[in-house]
Amino acid sequence: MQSAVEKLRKYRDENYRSHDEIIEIWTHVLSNRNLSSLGDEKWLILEQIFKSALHCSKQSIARQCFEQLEKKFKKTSRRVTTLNGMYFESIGEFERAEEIYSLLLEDNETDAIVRKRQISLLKEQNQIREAISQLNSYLELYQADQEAWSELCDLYLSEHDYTKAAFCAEELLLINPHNHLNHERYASIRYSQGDYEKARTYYFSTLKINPTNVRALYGIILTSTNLALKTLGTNSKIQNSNENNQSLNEQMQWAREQIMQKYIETTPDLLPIIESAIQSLTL
Amino acid sequence: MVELLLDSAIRFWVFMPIVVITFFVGMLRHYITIITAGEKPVDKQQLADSQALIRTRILRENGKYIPKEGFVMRKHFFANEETGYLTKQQTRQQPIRNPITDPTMMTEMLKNNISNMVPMIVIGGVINWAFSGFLCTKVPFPLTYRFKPMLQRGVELATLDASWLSSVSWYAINIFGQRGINNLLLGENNAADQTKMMQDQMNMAAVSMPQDSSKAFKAEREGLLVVDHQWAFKNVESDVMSQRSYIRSR
Repeated sequence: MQSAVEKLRKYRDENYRSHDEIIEIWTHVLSNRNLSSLGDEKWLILEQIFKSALHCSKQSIARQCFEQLEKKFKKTSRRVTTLNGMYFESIGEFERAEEIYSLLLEDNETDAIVRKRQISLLKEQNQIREAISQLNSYLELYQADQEAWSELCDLYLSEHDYTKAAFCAEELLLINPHNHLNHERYASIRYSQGDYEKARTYYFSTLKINPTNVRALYGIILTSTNLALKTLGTNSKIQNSNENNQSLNEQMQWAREQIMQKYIETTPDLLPIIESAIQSLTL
Repeated sequence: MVELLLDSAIRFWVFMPIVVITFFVGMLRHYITIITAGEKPVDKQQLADSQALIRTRILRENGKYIPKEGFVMRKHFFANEETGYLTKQQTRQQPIRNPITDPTMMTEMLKNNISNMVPMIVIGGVINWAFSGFLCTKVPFPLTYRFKPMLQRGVELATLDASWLSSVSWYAINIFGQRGINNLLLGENNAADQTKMMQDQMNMAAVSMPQDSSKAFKAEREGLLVVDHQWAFKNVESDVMSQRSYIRSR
């Protein structure tokens, strides 16, 4: 039991997304034991189990945890009320959830968690445009919220609004410039826009931070190929473009060899498939 | 010199009660603050201000990681002469919260003071009234004459050895020394601690002043204006390639 509690604590503090395991710990170890020996941590654990149960759509477990929490904290706790809203979300009763959230917001309009839930509620109902406009007004207040920018970026991408998505990705780069995934995302958005120069640069910067990012290597091959095609098409300053092409070729070769190298190190069996795949990507 | 002997009743009726009283007062204070302290909703404007300041600071520091267009666009948005966000905020009228005319602030301060000052005065008075004038213990090492006012408050005897401890001083020592016990029993950051409260009171003058955000905005804007865009990834292609080519040749 002690180790289970410690594991849950670790998952809770570090925001792990291993909800299956959390539920497993609950059903096998904790659910039929007396948790009151844990003191106040009991309620934190119940909240955690509740959220994980919703992730795994195990509503009966969620209900069970929620009833205990409600009995303890009554209706006065904002936190428990928010959980109630989440429960209604999970069973598809969006109106009731919305009602709960707007009531909560009336008391305290700066409650970031409730506002985020409202936005995700819109997203669940597939009202992407409303979600975007809500999220925009949220970001007017919380300008430095990394999660929100990331979410907005995804929403814009799902609407194929690349310019705005790129703006959000830039914002993410500003907030956390040392996360290679942010660089990769920005590069991919630029690639989708057809801005191959920037895409290539940011694929390279991804590699600078994390040399094992294979997606960025493929990205370099693709962008260099596209750039080479472009210069072939214009063909105006022959002298200049020749030089340019040479460096593009070099980059392509380099990325290719890096990918090969990785496959040789890890799974040599796949090498011929990869080779032909890369062949088809390049000119 | 003749050794001083203390009545053993002092142990039971002065020494122990002081320990017990200070401890339970600490507990009581902890629970009272839990009950009275409501969650203060954050001021919306203040929140927006601080978030905007964070964002401009980030832009100044990490602006080199985004392309030039993006940086210039954001800089324009924040620091533009006429319509820039910071320029506008800078000239915004600051509603100065006067603690005397603003009743909400008044009650807040009063609530603070009541939960802080009153118990301290009352308990201090009670201790002083009920237990003053006793010597209650002796520190087990010799001390110099200078320690007398600290350890023998309430017992002004010029010839008494400085290592004797008076009851009022014992109370003071208890207040300061119970932080560890309170942390153990009530958890970290509990409200039982009087010393922390005293520090708070010293800082109160600074806290209760409304922060002058227009000044902060002005400084931030000037800071942003002098920052120029130096793209961090100008030569990243050749950089990465040269850095990693040797892996291949190995």
